[in-house]
Amino acid sequence: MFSELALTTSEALRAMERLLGVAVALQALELLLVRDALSETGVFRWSILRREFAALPWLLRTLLDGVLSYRTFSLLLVLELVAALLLACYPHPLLAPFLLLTTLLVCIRFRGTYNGGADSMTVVLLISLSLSRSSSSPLLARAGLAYAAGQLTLSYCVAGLSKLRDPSWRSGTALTELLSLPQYGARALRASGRLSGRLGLLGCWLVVAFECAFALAWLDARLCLVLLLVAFCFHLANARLLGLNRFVWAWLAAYPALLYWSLRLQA
Amino acid sequence: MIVYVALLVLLSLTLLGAHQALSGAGGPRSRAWVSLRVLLPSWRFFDRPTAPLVLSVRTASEAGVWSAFEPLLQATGGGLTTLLVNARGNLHLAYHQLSEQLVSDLSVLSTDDAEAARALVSYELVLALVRSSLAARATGTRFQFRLRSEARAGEPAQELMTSELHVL
Repeated sequence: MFSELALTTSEALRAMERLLGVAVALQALELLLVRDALSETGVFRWSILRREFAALPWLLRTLLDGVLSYRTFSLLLVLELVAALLLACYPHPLLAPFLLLTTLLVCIRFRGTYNGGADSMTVVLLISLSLSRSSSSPLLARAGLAYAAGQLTLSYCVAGLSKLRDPSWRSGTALTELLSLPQYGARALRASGRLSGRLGLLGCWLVVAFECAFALAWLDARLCLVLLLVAFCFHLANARLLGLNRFVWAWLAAYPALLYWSLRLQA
Repeated sequence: MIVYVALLVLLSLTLLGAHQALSGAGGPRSRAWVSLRVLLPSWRFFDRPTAPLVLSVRTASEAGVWSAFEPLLQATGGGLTTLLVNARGNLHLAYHQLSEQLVSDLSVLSTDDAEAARALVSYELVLALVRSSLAARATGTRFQFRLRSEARAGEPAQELMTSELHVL
């Protein structure tokens, strides 16, 4: 089964575009659904947020006022939604750079990120796709895929290594503490109650071991597929327990890049 | 060639940031960096479980009697559809992030000056959050909000800030 598995450069890029198109479309849709929170009667009102850019030159401030105030920002989100759907269905080389710009503007509007790592991974993949599609050079396309695959690997390994340094992950209490944080709600709290003692210790070490071992995906395509499958289930569990649904789609969109390179290195 | 170098630089900077994070060498960050941090991810997810941070609010009755502090942000559950679209859940997380940003901004203030705290953008945003949650109350209602880290293993609960009085 695995010996027949093959992925060309253009297939890998196309798969990334489809998945990332869905991811960004869902992100834009979510913000449109809660756009009241961005209005001048909501919490994230531009009249407060704009003060952080007071030190910028006048021209830049005027530009940001024009783009990030409520009405134009809502329009920007609609355009982002349309462009993301187009990326998923009818790709064009200008779509990824446009979505990169809108995603960066969303991040600036929310003082860095709206949804933490999911925004970072989205930006990484949009940079990768923008470069890969900027010319017909296969070398450039492969470089873009390598960048995405490299960042994907770092995302797991750095997370694993930094957890390994923390005593609460090593002693097995971290998962319980994490799941009982008030921002994650009742479902996570119930799971936290079930993860005490040995089960908690096992859970912590499984997470750390999986994240640290993720770099092995580069060595063997079969192992890469297995690790990607485990990673996908890991993100689904996080989405269900912690509400981090954006991570599922953003990370899923990066998987074709790693699979492409794993297959290529094996070949 | 420039593109390859740029990609390598981005990857290296991510690695460098990750390395600094791993060695605990992070310093105070300027607002410009924070706005663009999305370009250089640290990828340190949940590396150190933090103490539960609770934003709560209390209001005064017309007779001037204060209620107890009540938690403001209640997480919403959701069905399987939240795997696709979780607009309310992610907004809730963004609201919680505001409280964390306020705590972080307060920690770098050199003085215990209420005026300086009041001038922080993060304070204004949390205030807007509190006001929007009290929108159903009568105009003129007086209120205060509080940020408190709850007790966790080996660490007692700690009151991080209590706001001045505000009026709806």
